[in-house]
Amino acid sequence: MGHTMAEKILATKCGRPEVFPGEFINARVDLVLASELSGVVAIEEFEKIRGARVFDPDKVVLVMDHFTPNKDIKSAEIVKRCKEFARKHGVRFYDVGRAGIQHILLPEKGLVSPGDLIAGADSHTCTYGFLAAFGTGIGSTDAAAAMALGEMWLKVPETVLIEYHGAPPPWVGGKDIILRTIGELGVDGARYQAMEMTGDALQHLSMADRFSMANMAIEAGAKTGLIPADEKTEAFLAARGARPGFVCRSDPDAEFAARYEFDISQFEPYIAVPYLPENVKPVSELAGLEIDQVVIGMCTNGNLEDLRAAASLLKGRKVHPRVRAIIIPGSQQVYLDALREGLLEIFIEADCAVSTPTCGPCLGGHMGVLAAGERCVSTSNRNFRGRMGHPTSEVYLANPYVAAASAIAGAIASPVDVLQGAEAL
Amino acid sequence: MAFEAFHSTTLDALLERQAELRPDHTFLIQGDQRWTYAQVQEQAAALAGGLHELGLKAGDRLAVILPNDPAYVITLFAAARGGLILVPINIRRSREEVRSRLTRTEPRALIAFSDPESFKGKDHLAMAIELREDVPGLEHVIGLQAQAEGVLPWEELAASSVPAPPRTSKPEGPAAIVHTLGSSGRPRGAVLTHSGMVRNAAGVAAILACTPQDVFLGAVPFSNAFGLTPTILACAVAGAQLAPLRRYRPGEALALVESAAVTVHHGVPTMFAMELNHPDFDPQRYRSLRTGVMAGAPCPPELVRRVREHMIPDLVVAYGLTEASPSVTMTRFDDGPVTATETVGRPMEGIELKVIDAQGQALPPGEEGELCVRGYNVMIEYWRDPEATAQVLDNEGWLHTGDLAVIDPDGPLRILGRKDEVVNRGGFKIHPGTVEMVLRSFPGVKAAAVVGVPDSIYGEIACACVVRAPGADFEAEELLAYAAEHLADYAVPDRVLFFEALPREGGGPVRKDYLQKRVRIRGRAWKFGRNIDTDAIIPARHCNTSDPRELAKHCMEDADPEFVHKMRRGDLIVAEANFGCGSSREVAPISIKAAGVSAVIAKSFARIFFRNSINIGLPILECPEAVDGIQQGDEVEVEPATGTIRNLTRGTTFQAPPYPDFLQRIIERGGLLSYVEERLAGRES
Repeated sequence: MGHTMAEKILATKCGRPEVFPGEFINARVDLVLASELSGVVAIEEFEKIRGARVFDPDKVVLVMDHFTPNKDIKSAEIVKRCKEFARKHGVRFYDVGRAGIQHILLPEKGLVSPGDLIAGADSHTCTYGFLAAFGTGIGSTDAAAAMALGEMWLKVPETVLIEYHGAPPPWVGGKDIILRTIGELGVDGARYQAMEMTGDALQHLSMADRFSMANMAIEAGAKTGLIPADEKTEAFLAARGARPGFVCRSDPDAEFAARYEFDISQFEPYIAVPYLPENVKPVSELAGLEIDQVVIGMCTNGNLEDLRAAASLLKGRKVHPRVRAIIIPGSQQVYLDALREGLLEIFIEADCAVSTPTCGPCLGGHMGVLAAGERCVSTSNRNFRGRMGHPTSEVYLANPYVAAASAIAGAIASPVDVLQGAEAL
Repeated sequence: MAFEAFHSTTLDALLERQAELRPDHTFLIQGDQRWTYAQVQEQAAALAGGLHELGLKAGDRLAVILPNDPAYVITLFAAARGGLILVPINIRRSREEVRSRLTRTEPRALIAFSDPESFKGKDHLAMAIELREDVPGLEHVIGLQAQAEGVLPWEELAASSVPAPPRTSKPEGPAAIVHTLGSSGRPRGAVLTHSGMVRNAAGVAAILACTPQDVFLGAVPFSNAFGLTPTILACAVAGAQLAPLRRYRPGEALALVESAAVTVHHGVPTMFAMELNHPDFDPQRYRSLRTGVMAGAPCPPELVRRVREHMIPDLVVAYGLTEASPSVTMTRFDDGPVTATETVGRPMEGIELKVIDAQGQALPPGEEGELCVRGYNVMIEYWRDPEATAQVLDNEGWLHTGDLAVIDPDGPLRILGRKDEVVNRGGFKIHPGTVEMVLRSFPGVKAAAVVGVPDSIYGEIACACVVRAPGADFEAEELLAYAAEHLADYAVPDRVLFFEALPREGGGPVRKDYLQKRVRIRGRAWKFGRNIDTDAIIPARHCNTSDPRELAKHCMEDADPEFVHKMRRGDLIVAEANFGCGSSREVAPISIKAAGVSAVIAKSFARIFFRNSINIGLPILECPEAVDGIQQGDEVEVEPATGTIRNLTRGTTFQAPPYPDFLQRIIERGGLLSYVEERLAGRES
């Protein structure tokens, strides 16, 4: 019997010829990752371990991104603690000015390669599947143990195979593909399974599209999201000086827990309405719903391609007077590239605020927290109750085109509406 | 302050000195009543006079069955003043246990009380009167706050105008006989000296930096060494105040801490766990608490950390045993976090330690062996039991503790377990042999073995593994009711599990190590059905908190505010919901573990909450069918080692995949961090 990508990667990490779904294994990790939020707890746990040293300082990364630039004394103290730990143990440390949102930053620094096992104390560590790496979220105690041992325990997940066919219509991107998928599977649809996303549609999808897709695998309950590597992946890795890694594909006779097929040429821009990412509707059904804020960027859609998409609509237009629009590039590099391309100028002229990279508003931390009853269109990945602020505020998840169009219209709108000059309301 | 003035003195001299130094300073507190040092001294002298008048002479024993009460303290000092040897007996002892202690020590008088309403219907005075007939030499029964025919009122004796007899007690002479259970389960009376106890108390008071401004909580039973020396006597050495708690209930303890502005709170780990989990617990109300000693049973580091964080900033952990008066080692205020929470500290002044191998040879630091103690604090002997004494006291004065320990190279001591197999249930020692004997005497029991099972509240509980005789069909409840008639309440097994046969070594003794691993967890199912994801819920209330620990704290409250308080020890969580996912919300499983949850049955390992359950050493079984087949309140039994889940209420059985060895090891080690330590140590060696 053949094996899936997930099984093949995990087998290499525990030095065995093969592993099977349901098995518990102790696997070697290639990278241990934490933000300041999960990191500070991991550090405290780590220091409880007698005689513990970091197993390999090059393979431990602390990225200060959740409440940074430090929003208050507490967050400042936490970042300070992380910094002291990083200095003491010599681990990789990224703070404001050199950082970015961890999931955008690490691939950009060439730290992620296909076939890697990445243990991140952050739910969205599954993002690295866009580079065919097995990334998975862990707890802070796990992170502490992984920092000391260079290992993590896990159960080998089953795999669900999701095949995408066709080419995406205009205005449809990776975000719409994953939203529609979660809408079909449900937030528990791939619980503790690896979501392998493949098919001929991949040739039409950019690395940024794939990034958004893998990033939200956890929103279907998945242990990880995996997209097989191809020439685009190779080019991405080569441009960032990453190792070639261990490239593999699922065997034709591999056993999958379920298979889904989607024809993306029939897709349209989607939006996930409160309070779960599975509440997916076509944008057209919601057109005209007044909004108060738009946030574009952060991790799910914080790559340069995403900012270009938003800028293509905002260029020469203004954000509706009712709306605050905040642009958050995913990293310093994305910020700089956007600056050089003139995107930031477009945003500022359109009355958008451009922020330094931060997770800030996505988790209701800072830099764009919502008041009671406020409604926000966001390119982020979660729309749980109170996720971006007050429990009665509402978050609508969408792609950057829809978010930009809605900012201009002052209400949920499709890019077509904006281009046709049909100002809503 | 080292309190060196009290290094070679008697209990009565200690009180006399304090009564001179600070006559009007309060010593005892009960409700609105106060006793100054001078008043306690006066009453103790009067009681000594009254007892003398009854004919009690120096060297006679005075037995006491009293709750923690000011009268206890007065009696303790009165006995010392009269040269009598105090025989404290715990009020929870069964009639048979009291009888055997009295028969062995032959006291001439017994002081008892009567308060059946507060003490589960038990009338201690009535029991004392009945026992008078059986115990040779027991001439007088004295009743505290109680009248009965042939009983002398304590109050009358304590108001006696007969002068106290001339002082006869000596620092090196016997002050008390405190009973302890040896490896045979037979009670042995450790004879403790005046100076052994007082100097030991001075050591405690010095380490805790006590002053006359301190207020001690009298929560630990005064009938054991922990209640006598570090509580009553350390308080007296410091010239401080003592608020005795008549009957320990966590809510009452907390209320007394608040009302009396207690600064020093000692207790066994169970007490602190129950107080932290109490619905009334509110750290703001106990800010007077400064320090205290956690001892008497293995102290879970997580609990120590929680107590230090939420309740008593300078809590210290101590190790001791009755035979050592009792304190041997203590952590210190300036210890680092690991020493303070994971060790029992360093030896106290004047006390030597060594760890020996099976041949009696001393081992270097870092090696595991039996702990031996030597110093001023070691008992004289077991009362009239030279054989038992010879087993534990060697010619060089070393007390062989029977505890397995390791002395860290940098000094702190770690206790690893016991040489024998006594079950330590929240500080109360249960000898399996005694319990097994009782169980075997129940009609229909073919074989019985009692093993200790780890428990997050009591440290350890007793689990009876029973084989029914052919044709016998009794239920566990019947067996337990029978056991309760013959055993102290704490020694009645917490769980009864029926087996087809007990594993034996050849045809020999029961393989308890094997049995322990196979032992099943049984409890009430707590169906966790709300479809909650902490990431969905927490930000709604706490999104602006940049401190993950603060977020974590609210995790369980948000899920169900009553959750932790509704749980009962031994309950199982049956988790229907895909509960918990935030990577830093580790406190959720920590909270349920502290609440006493024994296991988790879950639909899947999908979420980090469940990883964390294993990571803190909580058995978790993944079995969606079992989750569907168990309803709230069902009695459920799980066998983590085999993955078997039985719904006893509905008579159904489910099978979860068993764990691989390393996960079993994580659970056995009590969590991931200890497992990592073990692995790291393995790599180095």
